[in-house]
Amino acid sequence: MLSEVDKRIIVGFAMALVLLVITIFFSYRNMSQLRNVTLEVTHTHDVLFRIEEIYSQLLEIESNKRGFLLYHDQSFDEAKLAGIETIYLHLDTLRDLIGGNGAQTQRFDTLQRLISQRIALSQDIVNDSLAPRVPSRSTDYSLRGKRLTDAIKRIAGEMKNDERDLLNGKMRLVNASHRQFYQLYVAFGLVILLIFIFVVYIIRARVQERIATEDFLRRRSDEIKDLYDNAPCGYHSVDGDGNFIEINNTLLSWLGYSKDEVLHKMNFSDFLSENEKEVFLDNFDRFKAEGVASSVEFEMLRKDGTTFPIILNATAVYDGRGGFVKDRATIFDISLRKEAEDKARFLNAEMEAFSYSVSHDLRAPLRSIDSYTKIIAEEYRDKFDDEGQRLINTVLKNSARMARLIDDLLDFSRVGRKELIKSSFSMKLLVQSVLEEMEIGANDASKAINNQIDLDAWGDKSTLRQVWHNLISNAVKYSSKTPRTEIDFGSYADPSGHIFFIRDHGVGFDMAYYDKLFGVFQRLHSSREYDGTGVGLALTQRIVTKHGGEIWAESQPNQGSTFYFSLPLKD
Amino acid sequence: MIQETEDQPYLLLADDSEEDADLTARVLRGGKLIEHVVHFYDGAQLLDYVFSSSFRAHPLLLLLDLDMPKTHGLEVLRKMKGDGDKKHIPVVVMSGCSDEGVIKQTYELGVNGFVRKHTQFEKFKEEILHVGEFWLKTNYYPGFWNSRQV
Repeated sequence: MLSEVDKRIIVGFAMALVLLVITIFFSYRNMSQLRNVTLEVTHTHDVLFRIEEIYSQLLEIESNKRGFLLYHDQSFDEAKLAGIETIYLHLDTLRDLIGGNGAQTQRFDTLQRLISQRIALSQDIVNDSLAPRVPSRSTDYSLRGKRLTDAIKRIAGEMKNDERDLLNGKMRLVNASHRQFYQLYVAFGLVILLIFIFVVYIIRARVQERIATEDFLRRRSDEIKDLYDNAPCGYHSVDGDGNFIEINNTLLSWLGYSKDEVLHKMNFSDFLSENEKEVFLDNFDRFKAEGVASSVEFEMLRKDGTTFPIILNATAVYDGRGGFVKDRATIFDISLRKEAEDKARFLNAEMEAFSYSVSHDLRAPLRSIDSYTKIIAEEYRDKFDDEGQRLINTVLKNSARMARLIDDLLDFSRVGRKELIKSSFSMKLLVQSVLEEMEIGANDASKAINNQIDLDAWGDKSTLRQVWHNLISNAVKYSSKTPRTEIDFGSYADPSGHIFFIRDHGVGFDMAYYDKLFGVFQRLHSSREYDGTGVGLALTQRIVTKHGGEIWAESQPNQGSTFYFSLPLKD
Repeated sequence: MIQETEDQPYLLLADDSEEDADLTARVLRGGKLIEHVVHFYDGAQLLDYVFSSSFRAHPLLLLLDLDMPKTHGLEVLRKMKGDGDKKHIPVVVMSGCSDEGVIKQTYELGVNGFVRKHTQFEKFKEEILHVGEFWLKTNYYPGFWNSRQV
């Protein structure tokens, strides 16, 4: 395909060529014109020369005639005859020269006739002089002679003038045509020059553009090569047998090999342990067929014998007929991640051990306190007065509170470790079932429950059940001092997902303390007013956050509170 | 510690907490469910006794705590349930921990029941009584009948 620029160059050259051909054509025409003019001039001079010659021969004949009349020398008569012959020769030539010119031919005919008469007259005079003298005729002869000679002179003059005019006219025409030709010649020359300048300019621009493009491509290619070689991850390609055909510097430096040692010499499986070699060989054929390997983990062997964990992703490159050519693979060194995972596992195990020991070791003494106090209260009832009973009850109340704290704390730590099993379900029904479980609702005239939730949820049902349990018990608890408990439930959609809320008309709280609301062991009311451990909302927040959602609240003292939480939609 | 009462039914109890053991025995005796309770403070002691020549066959039940010094309850369970003679002795684990993983482990080792030790005395008492009613008064196991006939 020709580019726009190439087309322009070709058109430019074509135009210049056409103009050149036109110029050559005009030059040729001009040259032949010039040659014609030269011929015309020669012709005219020839004509003029013949006329002059004829005229001078005529005078010569006349002087020879006179010479003969005076001296009667025969040589004069011979010279006269030779002159006459010459005149006729010149006349023949002149007729040929004049050719097709009508006016000149007429004059020529007249001239020829007059010359013939003149020559005849001369002959008559000579003849008379040889015969007896007739004086009257002598005068008559000389008058006729003079008239004829004058007429000849006039005709010859006319012919010469005409011939000159003809030549001049032609010369003018030729000069004008020459001038036109030179103007055209200069103009064409300029145009050709301009076209050449234009074409050269385009070619130059084209060449510069090409140089710039090559430069740009070279830089790009360098950048890409640099990225390939020095990216912070390993790149490589293997052929259908698993042999390395490309590898970048990063991966080489991780492995401790040089490029020459690896390319076309080593197989991917050479970098794996015996066990993983088999895994690789088992999976490689499947990869070649499927075209994608994602997040495959291997332990790679360095040159020095040490290993490091990697994650491999690869896509296959096929030829036109679907045959496997090579793969493009990335390798990430996940040593740090592995370490972090190990550490997280270790910390989780520690946490678990801690929770276990908390549950066991803290509960055991509590059980003893609670149990023995109750045994005392029962078996030694008679020995205690009212104050004694009150003190015992205080011990029992506090041990019960501590037991609840421990249980809540354990729940809190357990939720952090628990894996969410997500499903899609009706939130309205979940709330309904929690209410039934808590025995709140239908048969309870003191509570007005208005469940208006109409959006479904995507999440872990068992932990979300706990969320509702906590929020509902809070709503009930903090409404306990108002004559009637009213709880509204609702939902709405939001860019962040589905939002669910619960609104009570209870005691509420001061938003000034909002930042303490979701903290562990943080409470906005004393346990004398409202019982609680301060773990419920912290736990609720932990569950919602773990779902990827958010929890927040709005409240005014004695106006009730609204708790909202969002759950992202199924991805 | 070991009360040699040849002809009376008895209960094996392994718990490192003296109070828990005392409360358990107190509840069972108060409920007239058993009189003889043989208590060990750790798993090692229990195993020593069970696999000794002085072991008195066919206890009604082994009430086993899990977290004990020296030998853990799970290890005791493994030894008991892995032994041809002792595997039929009913073992009920009583633990302060009700972790799903732990419960699963005990069942994989062949436990006959798992009871959570409640912190509140009323509930603790109720649970012990339930266990006693069934395992000490209702249940039979291979070889046990002959022993009771003695």
